[in-house]
Parts: sequence; structure tokens; C-alpha cells
Amino acid sequence: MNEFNFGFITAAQRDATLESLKTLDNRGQISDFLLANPVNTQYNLTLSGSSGRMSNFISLMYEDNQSNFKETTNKRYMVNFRTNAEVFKWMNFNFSGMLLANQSRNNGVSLGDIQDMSPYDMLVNTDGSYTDINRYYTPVITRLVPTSKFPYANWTYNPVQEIANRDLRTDQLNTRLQAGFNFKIIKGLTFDTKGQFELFNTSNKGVFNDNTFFVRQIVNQASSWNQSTNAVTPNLPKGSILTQSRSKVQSYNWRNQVNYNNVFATKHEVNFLAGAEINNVVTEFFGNPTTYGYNNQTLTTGLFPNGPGGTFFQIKNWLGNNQTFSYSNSFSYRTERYFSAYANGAYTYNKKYTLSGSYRTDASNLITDDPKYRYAPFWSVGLGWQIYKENFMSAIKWVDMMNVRATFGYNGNVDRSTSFRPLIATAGSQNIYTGDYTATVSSFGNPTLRWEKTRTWNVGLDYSLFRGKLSGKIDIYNKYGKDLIAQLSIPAINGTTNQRLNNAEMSNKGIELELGTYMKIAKELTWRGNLNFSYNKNKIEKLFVARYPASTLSFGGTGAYVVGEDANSLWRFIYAGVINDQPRVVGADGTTYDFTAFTPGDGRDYMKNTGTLVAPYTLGFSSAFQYKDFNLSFIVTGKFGHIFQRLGFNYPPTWTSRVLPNIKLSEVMNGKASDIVPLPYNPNEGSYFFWDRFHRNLSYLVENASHIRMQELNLSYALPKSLLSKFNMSRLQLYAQGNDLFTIYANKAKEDPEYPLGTMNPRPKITFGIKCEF
Amino acid sequence: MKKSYQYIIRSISFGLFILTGFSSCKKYLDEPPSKTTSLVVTTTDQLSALLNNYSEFYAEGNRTAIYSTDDYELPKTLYDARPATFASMAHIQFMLWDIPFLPDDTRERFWSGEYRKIFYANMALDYVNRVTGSDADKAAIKADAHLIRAYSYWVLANTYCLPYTEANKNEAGLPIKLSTSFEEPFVRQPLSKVYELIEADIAEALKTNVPLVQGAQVRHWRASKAGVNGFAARYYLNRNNYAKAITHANAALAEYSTLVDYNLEMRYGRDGVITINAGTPQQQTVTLKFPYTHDNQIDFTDMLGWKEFLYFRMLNHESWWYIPSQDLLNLYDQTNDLRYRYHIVEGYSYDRGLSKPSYNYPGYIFFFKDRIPSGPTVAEMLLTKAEALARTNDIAGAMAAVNTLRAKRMLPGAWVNLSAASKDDAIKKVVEERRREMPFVQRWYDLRRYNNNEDPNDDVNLSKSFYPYTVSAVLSTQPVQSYTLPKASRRWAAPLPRTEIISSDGVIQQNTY
Repeated sequence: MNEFNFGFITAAQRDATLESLKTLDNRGQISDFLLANPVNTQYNLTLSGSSGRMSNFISLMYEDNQSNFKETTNKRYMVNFRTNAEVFKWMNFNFSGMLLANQSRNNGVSLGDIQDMSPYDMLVNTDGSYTDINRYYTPVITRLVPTSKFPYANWTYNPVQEIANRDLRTDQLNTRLQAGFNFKIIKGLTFDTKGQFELFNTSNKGVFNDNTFFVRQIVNQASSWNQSTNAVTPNLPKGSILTQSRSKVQSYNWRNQVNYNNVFATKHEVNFLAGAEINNVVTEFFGNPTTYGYNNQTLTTGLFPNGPGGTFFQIKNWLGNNQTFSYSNSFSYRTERYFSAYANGAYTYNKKYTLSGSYRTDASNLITDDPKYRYAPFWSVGLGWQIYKENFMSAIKWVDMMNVRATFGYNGNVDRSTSFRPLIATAGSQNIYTGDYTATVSSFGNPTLRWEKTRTWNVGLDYSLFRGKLSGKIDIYNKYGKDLIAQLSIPAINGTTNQRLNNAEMSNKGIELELGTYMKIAKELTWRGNLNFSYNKNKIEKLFVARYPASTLSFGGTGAYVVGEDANSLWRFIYAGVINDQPRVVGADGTTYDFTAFTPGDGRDYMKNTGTLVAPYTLGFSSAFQYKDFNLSFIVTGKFGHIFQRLGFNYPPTWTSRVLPNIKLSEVMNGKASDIVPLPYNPNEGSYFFWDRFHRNLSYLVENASHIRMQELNLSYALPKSLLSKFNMSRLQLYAQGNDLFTIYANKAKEDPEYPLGTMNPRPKITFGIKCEF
Repeated sequence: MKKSYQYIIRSISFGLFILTGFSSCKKYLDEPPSKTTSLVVTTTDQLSALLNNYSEFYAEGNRTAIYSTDDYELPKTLYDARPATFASMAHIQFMLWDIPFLPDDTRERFWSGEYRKIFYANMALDYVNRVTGSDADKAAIKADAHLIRAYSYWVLANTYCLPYTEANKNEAGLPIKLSTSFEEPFVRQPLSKVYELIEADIAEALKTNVPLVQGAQVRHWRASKAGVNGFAARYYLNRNNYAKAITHANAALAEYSTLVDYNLEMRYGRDGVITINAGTPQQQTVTLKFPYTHDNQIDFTDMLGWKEFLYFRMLNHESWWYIPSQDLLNLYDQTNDLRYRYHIVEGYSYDRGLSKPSYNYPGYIFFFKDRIPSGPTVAEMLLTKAEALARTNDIAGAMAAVNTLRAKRMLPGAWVNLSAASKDDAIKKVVEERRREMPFVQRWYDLRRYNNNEDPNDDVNLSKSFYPYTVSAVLSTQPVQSYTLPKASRRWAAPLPRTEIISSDGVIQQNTY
């Protein structure tokens, strides 16, 4: 259409091209060439055995996974070994080792690549050759660019060709070794010491050969093009491009714990444990510079024909801009160290009344002036009453078990990203223009920094009635968090307008119920069912923020915490219809604002709090029927009382690439301008690009997010033992399982609240398997 | 018995472990979490790295300087040609000296940006005595921090506060921060205190021995003797202390006086080619001629390589169009002044969206579309010296200085050298040259100075005519009205952002109008 507007083609040619494009639909080709059926195969072998004093366990696993996209696969290998030996009567030794290797290849396209194509962009021509899915405005390239003079004359892009010519691998090796001793010192008193070492190496290697658009584009665009003489000078060598990086995570961990359990005079039972643990994690990252002109067979690399650029010898790219090629490695190094000490004790009198308490203190190597600040002690106390053992309860025959419990305590959290003093971050290499090393302030310092503390009390009841036909628990809790860290606005004279300060207080109150049953319905048919239900109410109790600009409120996060509201509220504009040919939103005091500029003032005055994004009510229901050797079970989950924003039309403006309207165009074309934002009335609407600050934040897109999911359905059959003994097998079980089978939505748009349109939602997954034991 | 031995040994070792565990904890937990990020400052190298980071310091997003002077004009016909290009209300409000709506503008970055630089300077001064490093390094860092702080407080005081005169000594100045603590008082100090601080900081900065040119590099992004003298010259001219202005200008020029000769070293860069009125019978392809300094947005080679900088600061314009007023355009000798040839780009309006239907209006272009040098430069030193000499009645000296500059800015010919008949004539000619050389960057500060010095002939009352407007829209259906900024107006102090007043709980007070 642009070509016609500029006069390069006639109206008849334009219409003929549009007509032929209308007939093309690339979805079939996409699924044939770019997508694959996802299949996961896993093999497990476990051997275990024990003699009198030693038991061993080894398991091996191999897994092969094909993802939804062709050429994106991974393989995993895992070995697990455990041994437990009674060396002396009073000392046990245990050891375990795990080795996991994961090799993935990620050559395939991503969801974003597919969404970037227009529906009429076919991948393969009728004769089987690759098409060109334009990455440039092709008529300008053909008319004005002497493509044959550039290092690669082919400027086309095709995703099928792309994935076939690149090799992107990630190899991970993870090993974990644990060893420990357990000592029995006197009756009831044991001492455990355990150490663990873990190593996690990841290496990434990507090789793109020069059939890929990636390589051809980089090399072509890096060439200098003298537009008056049409002379082209290459600045990068031809050949493949190699990218490499690796990371290494090493950690060790040492825990010592003392346990004491004893009963005195049959009425006094004491349970006590205390321990200390240290933990050290070191994460290192090594990045290599991009290697150009690489040959994967001969392992040779290219050179920069004219140097890497820079202040002393500037090289220009094809459009005449200065460019420099990076040739340095990059490094990063992080150490996290933790120390914890904890103790738990419980005293039970007469097997009925329990008093318990716990204490812990954690410390980490965060940056602080005062070492005392590193430690935060937290504690809790609790009471328990096994009420069903009381004399007055023994008359009530239908109660099998009933306990009442109550706990009260403090818990806490530290934010490692802030510190008392201002901190700086240094750049990895010298500035290419001045040659100096530079640094920036990474944290402005919070002189009043302290730990976040949450005070919790919890009252609960555990019960089992009618001989197991009804069991479960009820819990009521109230949590109050103080000194919570939130982004607050401070006067800019402090050097920053936002700082993470311990100024927020938040409460969470709720109830959790569990109902379970196990009953025989008929001969050989039993039913085990379990229902979980919970309700939580969250509210910000205290927080001072100067003013909420509308854009901060609609963005969400801690910047949108408002006192008296739920922490996960979704604030949206209210659409006011079209006035004077411009769509507008409701403003403060009866005014309206159009879409051409950021709205002034405090957003709370005219935006609507449409609800909470986190479901206050959650439900889980699982059920299992056992009939003879068959077992049928299912799990259903549900979430209610929250909202989500459905997909709206994307009003794409013309920038520098394709204009791709989404599926919601019909609701805009068929809807009324007073209800839904229309396409601009002015064909030359200059601020159309600014509309996305508004059309994505309108309250009419918000819908009820309540839904119920059938998470899992499982049918298994265990062969009877009589048959198996002939084969020396002790168990053989066949099973078929389906996951994510279907979902029931309450919203009118029938969209999945947890997987918005345009992302990949979990598809129903079917698994078949066999378990056997010898 | 074996067991009790074991019991004793085990409990002793456990006890020892607990004790040693706790005491070695402190050293164990002192390990810093990272080698490159979240570092506590311990060496002068780290402080130098902070001050080397010119991208933190160079930008001045001062919209008062850009829009509120007579260098900038948005004529009604230009606005009507395509109102969407001028959709930002803050643009209109700055241009027309608005008072009620500007405090709520959400894109205000200048106040917070300058205080951020002040934080960096305070942090350097806080730490410089506690870190390890050579005394020479420490002296250089101190001087640099004092210059950064003086510079930022000066630009803030000259934007948000009234001009400094005997009468205004006790008017509201700025909140003064001298450390990195968040507990310092927020209240605005009187103007006299602010200027005392600026002078004290300049005096400290002048103690530096760091040369501007080191080896082959002109290191203008760090404070040097020439840089501090350059800023001191600007400061004292602004305080009408002509003797000191001349001293400092001469000191700066004695150390470094390289000028860019527009005849030899200025050239066009990449042209812009735009098709206007596409698809209509008036369709035409227009070539826009840009100076070479316009070519690179992200690459700093040209900006850092500009030879006239004594100290690296640039005025930064987010909307990319310095619209020169007719007044400003008329000042130039449009045939012979090379500044007009290279920096005034004809047809720039086509690049800003006015291509269909087309409307032709130029734009002032220096670095890319958004930046103009605003730190002290050699050119500014010559003009400062010339003006101070003219005002102290050394007409010959004034004209000599001005002509040194003009030789590098004009095509050779009889028109290059100016001469003046009297003191007032000399002042007028120097002032006009100053405006031609440094539009937008210095004009606001200069106008405030002219209106409050001992000379009544250079006073300027500003006025513009434009449509009426509200907080969110220009009322283009109503007739234009006239807006003025007379010399005695209190609006010569720009309103403070309202977020400061609210987040300080009212301690920081708005200007009174």
C-alpha cells in the first residue's frame, strides 16, 4: 500500500496483490515446518538392597523431551546413589551422591518469532523453495541497495532455513554430594552432622552458519557503504558466528543438629532439637566475546579486516553510523553466605497437653556497618491440646481424634539489595570513548534499614470423626507484617526520588479448611476424598506515598500499593466514550482526558480499583476410587474472587515494522464507539502511537478470573500378586494419566485467566507408564 | 565405658563447635557478596571511576532554558499546521510561563537530575578522606566534587529562584544538601546562603592542579584548572563582578584556547532525505543538510571530541526540536555566518512530522537532534571577556575578543570584524554575538542578569502570543491572546515540581507568585 502511495505501482497492481494475499494462510505451513508434537519419554531404574547393617539405593534415569517447536529438544541423564551404614551400634554413616546431566538444543523458533509474521507470509513456495519473510522494507532494498556488492548478496529471511542452520546448545552438569554421621549418645539423645557440596556448571554455545539471516545481516550491515560511489568495504569476515558463555555455581553446606526425645515418669514427654548451619554459594559467570568468521570443522576464526573500531580509527556501518565491535570477555562473581542457628522444643504432659517453642536466628553476608544488623532472631510459642483424650470426650463415640492448637510468633525477612551505605557498581571494561574506568551508584543507601518482621497467630483444630469417614483440619490465622520494604517517594533532593524503605505494613487474615474422607461404598469399592478450601484477605495497613501518577498505578507492583487496599489491586481507567472525535477517559471532578498525553494529578481520583489479581478463595478437590485392582483418581483445583484483564485489540501504529492487528479487531469494528475505543476518526491521527498507554489500561477489559481446572485424571491397574509370583515380580502396575484436561471459566471472553491469549497455555498432556518391582 | 567417653568427647566437640562457630561467624559473614556490584567505596580509584562516568553528569534537561526565552518561538501558523507534533502540554506551558499547571508535569527531570549529581559530589567528599590512595588523587577528587556541586547548585538557583540582587537576598533559595544522609533539613535556604555555598565551592575547586590537556587527551569531562576557571568566569559575570570575570576568563584562555574554525573544520554530515506531500500533485523530495555533529546519537566520539569544551555539559531536549524564533533568525548574517549555515537546518519541520501537508520551518541543530554544548567553552570565555571589558569601558579590548571568535565563525570578508562607537554600542554588539553563539543554553541566565544589573539599556521584557490553554489541551478554537514576562515578574523563578512539596510534607515550599 505504501508503494502505491508513493506512486511506484498502479492502483490495479495494488488491488491485484491484495486480492492474492487474501487467499493465503500460513498456519498449516507453520505447524508442518516449525512446530512439533511435544513428547516426553522417561526411563527409570531403581535398585535397592540391604544387609543387616548397611542399605544401599541406586537409581538411574534417562529422559528425552521434544518440545512444541521443531529442533528444540533436551535429554537428561541422572544417577542417584544413597547408602546408609551402621558402623557401630552408636554411630551411623550415610552418604548420597547425585549426578545430573542435561543437554538441550534450542535451535527452534520461539513463540515471538511466529507472532511476528503476518498471516499471509507463507514459509515455502509451491515448488518447495524458501520464501522471503521480509525483515526489511524490501522495495527500498531492491531499488536502492546494491545487494550484490555486499559480502552476502542474499538479504532474505526464512524461519525454516534459519532453524536448520543454527546450532544452539546448553549443557548443564549438576553434581551434589552429601555425607553425614549420626551418633546415639545416650537414650533419647542423638547428634547429627551433615555436609553437602554442590556444583552446577552450565555452558552455552551457539553456532550460526552463514546460511542464517542472523549471520548475513550482521556481516552485511557492518560493511561500510559509500553511497556516492557504491563501493562496499566489508568490516567483518565471512563465515559462521560463534557465541559462548559459561557459568559455575558452587555451594557447600554444613549442618549440625542435636535431637533429644524422652519420656520421664510416663507423664512427661520432652522433644527437643537444636542446630546450626552454614551455607556458602559462589556464582561465577564468564562471557566470551562474539567470534566472527568461525569454522566449526577446522576450528579456525576470522579477524577484523579493519580493526574493531573506536575513537582512533572509526568504522562506519552500512548506514554511516559509527560502530565498534566488542572483543573483551566479561566476568561476574557473587558470594552468598548464610548462617543459621535454631532450636525447637516441646513438652507434653500426660500425652494430652503440649507446650512448644521455637527460636531461630539467621545471618547473611549482606553489606552493613554494624555486624549485629546481620542477625535477626525470631521465635514462636505454641499450645496444643489433644482434646479427644479427655474424659469428657470419651463419651462422644463418633470422635476418633481431635486436637486443638494455637501458635504465636515472629518471622522475618531481609532485603539483600539495599544497604545502609551508598554502594557502587563498576563497569567491566574501560569506556570506549574516554578510556576511563567508570562506576555508578547502585544503591543510594538506606541509613534506617532494618529487617522486615511478620507477627503471626494461628489457631487450628485437627479432627477425625466417624472412624475416618470425616477427617481434616481447620486453621484460622492473622499475620501482620511491619517494616515491610516498599518503594517510597522521597524528595528528589536526596539524589533519588524512590527508595526502598521499611515503611509499609500489611495484614493477611484468613481461614483454611480441609475435609477428608475414606469410606467403603460397596464391596471391593472404596473412596478416598479430600477437599481443601482457603480464604485470605490482604490489606495494606500503612504506607505513605506522596502522590500516585496514573501511569504508576496502572503499572502495578509495590509502586501501586495503596493504604486500605489489597496489595495486588488492578487500577484501570474508565472509558468515557468519544468526545470531539477523540476517545477519552474519565478524569478528576467531571473532566475527561484524551489519549494524547499522560494524565495529570493523582490517579486515585479518577481511576477504578477493579479488584485483586490474586484469588482470595482457592479450592482443591482430589478423589480416588479403588475397585479390586483398579484405581481411578482425579484432582480438581479452583480459584475464585479475583479478576484478570482479557486481551483487547492492540491498535497497532505504524512504526518501523509490520502492522499486525490481533484477533480482537472484529469487536472494535462491530462495537459502539461509546463502549469500546474505536479506530481513530482522523486518518492522520498523530498521537495514535501514544494510545497504548490508555487502551491497555481500560476497565472494560477486566473480567472475573474465577475458574475450575481438571488438573489430573489417573487410571491405574495393578496385576494381582498371584499372577506375578510366577515371574518373580512383586509388583506390576500399568497407568494412564491425563493432566490439564479442561477448564471451566466464569468470564465472558472464555479466556484462561492464568495464560492470557498470545502465550502458550498448558495443553492436555497424556502419559502412559509401567512400574514394575522385583 | 566406651559410650560415656563418646558422650563426653562428642558433647565437648559440639560445645566447641558452637563457640568457634559464633566467633568465626563475623569473619565468615564479612565476605562481600560481589566483586563488581554493590561495593563499598574503599579506594580513590573507585571514587575516580564514579566521577569518570560522564553519562551521569553531562545532561541538563532544563526545559526552562529551552522553551522560556525569546530564542524559542512557536508561531500560531506553525502550531496549526500539525498540532499533534506539539501535543505535549508542558511544552506550551513552559513557553508561556505557566504557573498553575507546570508543578504537576510528570516529565520533570531537571530538578531531580541536578540533585542526583549533587549526591555523587557529596558522596565523593564524604569518602575522600576515608579511602586509600595518593594525596594527589584525593585533591583532584575533592576539587572535582566541589565543581560538580557548585555547577549544579548554580543552574538550579538560576532556574528555580529569583535573580540574586540586594533586594532578593532573603528570597527562597534551595534546600542545601552537603552529605549523603537523608536526614538533612529539607527547608529552602535563603538565596544568600546558596550563593555563599557556590562561591565557597568554587574557591575550593580552584585549588586543583589538574591540567585540562593530559598527553593527547583533552579531559574536559573531569574538573581541570581551565574548567574551573571557565565556570568561575561564568559565575562572576552573572554576579556582575566584571573584574573577576575577566581574570578567570583570561586564566582559562591562557591554559587552553583552541577554537573550532568553522571555515576549515565544520562540514555537513549525512543528509536527510524526505518526501513531502507524498501521493499528491505537490509531491517533492527535499534534502535536509545537517552538520556532521548531527550524525551520531549514541556514539560519543564527536561530542567528546568537540575541541572547545572546557567542561563537559550539554543541554538535552527530549522533544528533539529547538525551534528558533524569528528574532533569533534575524540576528544572523544569513549569507556569511557559518553558524547559520550549519546549525540552522532549513526544512527541519519536515523531519518532525510536518510532511503532509508540508510546512517549512527550520530547527537549531548541534549534537544529534537533542543536545547543545552548555558547559563553559572557549567561545564562551571570549564572549564573557568581551562583555566584561565592554561594561568596564574597554571598547577596543571587547571588540578584539569578539572578533577573535568571529574570525572562526564567519566566511572571510569585511563583515567579520565588528567595531563599536560607544560603551553602549559595544555592549549591544557583544550581547548580540553572545546570543548568536549560544542560543538556548545561556539565554535564560543572561536575560535574568540583564534585567537586574546596573545597565538599563539591556533590559528585556518577554512577550508571546498564542492560544489559551488548560491543563490538558490547547484551546485552538479561541482567539490568540498575549502572554508577557515583564522584567520585575516573580515568574523569572520557575515553579518547583509538586512531588517535592508533597513528599517533604510541605517543608519544601513552592515559589510565591
